[in-house]
Amino acid sequence: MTVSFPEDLPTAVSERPQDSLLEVGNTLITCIEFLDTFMAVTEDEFLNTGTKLRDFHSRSLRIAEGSAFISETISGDRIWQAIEALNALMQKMALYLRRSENVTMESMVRLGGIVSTVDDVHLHLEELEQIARTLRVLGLSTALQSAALRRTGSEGAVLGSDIKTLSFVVQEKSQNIGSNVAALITFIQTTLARLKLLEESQQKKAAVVLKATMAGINALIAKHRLATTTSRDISAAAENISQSIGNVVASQQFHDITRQQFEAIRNAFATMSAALLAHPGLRNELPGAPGSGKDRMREAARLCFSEAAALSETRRTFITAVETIIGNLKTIAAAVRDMNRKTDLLTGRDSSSGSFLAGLGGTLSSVMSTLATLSEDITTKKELAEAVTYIWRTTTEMAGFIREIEDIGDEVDLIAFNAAVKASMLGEEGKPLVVIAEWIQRVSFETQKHTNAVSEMLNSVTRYTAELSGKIDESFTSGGTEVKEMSGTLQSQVGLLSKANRDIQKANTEIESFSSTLAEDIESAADKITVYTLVDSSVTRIISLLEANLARIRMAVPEITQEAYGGGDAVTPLQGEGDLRAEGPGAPATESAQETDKEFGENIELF
Amino acid sequence: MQKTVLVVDDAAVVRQMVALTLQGAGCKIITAVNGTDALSKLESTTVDMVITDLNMPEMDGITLVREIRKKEACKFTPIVMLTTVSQEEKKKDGAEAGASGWIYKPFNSRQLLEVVHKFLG
Repeated sequence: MTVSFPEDLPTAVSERPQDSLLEVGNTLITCIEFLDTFMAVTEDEFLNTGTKLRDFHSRSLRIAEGSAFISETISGDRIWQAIEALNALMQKMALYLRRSENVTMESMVRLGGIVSTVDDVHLHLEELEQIARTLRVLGLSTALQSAALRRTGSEGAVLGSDIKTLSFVVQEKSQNIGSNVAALITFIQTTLARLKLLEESQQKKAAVVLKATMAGINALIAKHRLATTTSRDISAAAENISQSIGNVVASQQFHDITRQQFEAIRNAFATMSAALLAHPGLRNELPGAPGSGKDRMREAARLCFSEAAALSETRRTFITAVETIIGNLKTIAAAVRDMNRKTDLLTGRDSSSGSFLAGLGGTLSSVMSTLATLSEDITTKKELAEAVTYIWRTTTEMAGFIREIEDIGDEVDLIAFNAAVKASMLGEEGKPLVVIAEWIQRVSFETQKHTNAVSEMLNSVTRYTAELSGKIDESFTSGGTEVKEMSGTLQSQVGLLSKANRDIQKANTEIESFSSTLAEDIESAADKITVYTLVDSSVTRIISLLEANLARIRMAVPEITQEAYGGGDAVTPLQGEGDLRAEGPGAPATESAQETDKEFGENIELF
Repeated sequence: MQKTVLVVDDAAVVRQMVALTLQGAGCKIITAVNGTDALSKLESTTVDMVITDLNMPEMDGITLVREIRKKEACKFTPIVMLTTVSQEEKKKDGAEAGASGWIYKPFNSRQLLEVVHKFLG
């Protein structure tokens, strides 16, 4: 700071020199008024800023706590274990669905085989119907022959009637079996078609769901890693912000430091103005008297010069500190914005699908779809088991008809034997009956052959169906248990993740409430700190008043030169409580500190 | 357990600043505007630590330290001077009066917290 010294003396200098003491003293009082005004305003503004800082600090602490909670929740072992368990479960589900698909496919192949076997029964049934027709003819022939052979009497007619009756029974049973076979084939084919459709749609769905779930889980694993890093970054950022706000709070002390300096200057002005105003005047004093007006003017000149320099230096300290506070607040606001962006990314507040929470929600919903697919699989199995049971029951029923036909075969055989006996008893006369008996025997043999074939086929279908039913039942039972277990595990893991998700969302909502306008509020607070302009203009005004005083003094007492009052010394020590040094947050970096307590810092001494 | 700190300073900004810093660390803060006010507060309250300015109207910091040390209950209460004064003779006066430490401004929040932590654990 250089205070200009008036070299050129005004023309009216010596006209009223006695008033110069008053003028200089009154000017100093004006300076005091300026100082008092801006010091009051600066205190109000600093207190106001302090109150806001308290709010910022409290909000940043809450954000730090919330972020730390989210970080801990996301990166904690429990979530990671749940994700890993889900991953393992999905692999298990995929394996189960593949196994289940194999059982269903095998069942379908077996059912196809059953259809083919049952279809073959038709051929034999047609033969049996042919046999029934033959039997009817034979019955008729027997009746006719018996009528011709009077010796046979009513026995021949009964024989013929029996054969006819048996033919109808064979036909009826064959037709029953035939209609059952047709119905069974239709049922199996419908079942197969439905199963095929179900299986295809289910497999397709399962493939899509499993793929999506696995992709979701893999993405979640990647996001978990990213989220862990991000949430730790957020926590660290929040801690830094909180600490930075703390440092800005500490910077508020520069108000006190400079206040004391300004007060020291004010007190010096007050003392000097009182001395000047109390003096009788330059003209009234005795020449060479101690404490003369000239001496006082010299002291006043020294004071004006040195305090102008001190004011300038204090103003520099004050403005630098305030500018640093404003700069720090803006940096903090930017850090808050950056932290908010990271929090948004982490929590999905920006609706980004890349967020951990969005990923978690999507994966959970996908996992639940997989569970639904498993339930559908069990439903399919149940349907399959029911169909197979129905087939087994139908074929068993048909086997009953076959047993009845076999019984008929035995009766036919008996009739053939009776006819042969009758024929032998009649001798030559009974020859036509022998022919009929031989026919009946042949028919009986044919009946047996076909009933055996049908019986064998139906037995094989029944056996086959029973085996299939056993397999499906086993798959259904073990699958049911497995699905139940998987559902239990799944639900517990999903429950765990959902709880974590809810906790994170809750913490996130809290963070949002504390951080949504924090950056704007900090910036607004920084923008509202305008006190330094008042200090700057006021100090400029005071310095100009001090320069005016120097001019007055120079006019009043021309022999007071700059050298005479020590103005040649460039450095004027600051006054106040002591040797004020500006260091620490918000302070000019050029100052140095005296060494004291190394443990805590150079400005701390513990006794 | 929450510790109580008495902050004595005639400057409202300093009282607010120290309170903000220490409240952030979980301390309960009581404030006084000068030595007389501080002694009056100590009549009705027990504190764990005193942080005081040096130059204050009515009663300065060193007188306050002497007065506090006269109180049986406060014989071992840590008293730290928080001031812009760093003159050795003043520090010596403070130490003789019974002050526990001397922090001269400017300081940062970490330093203040470390000193408080040192005394209050």
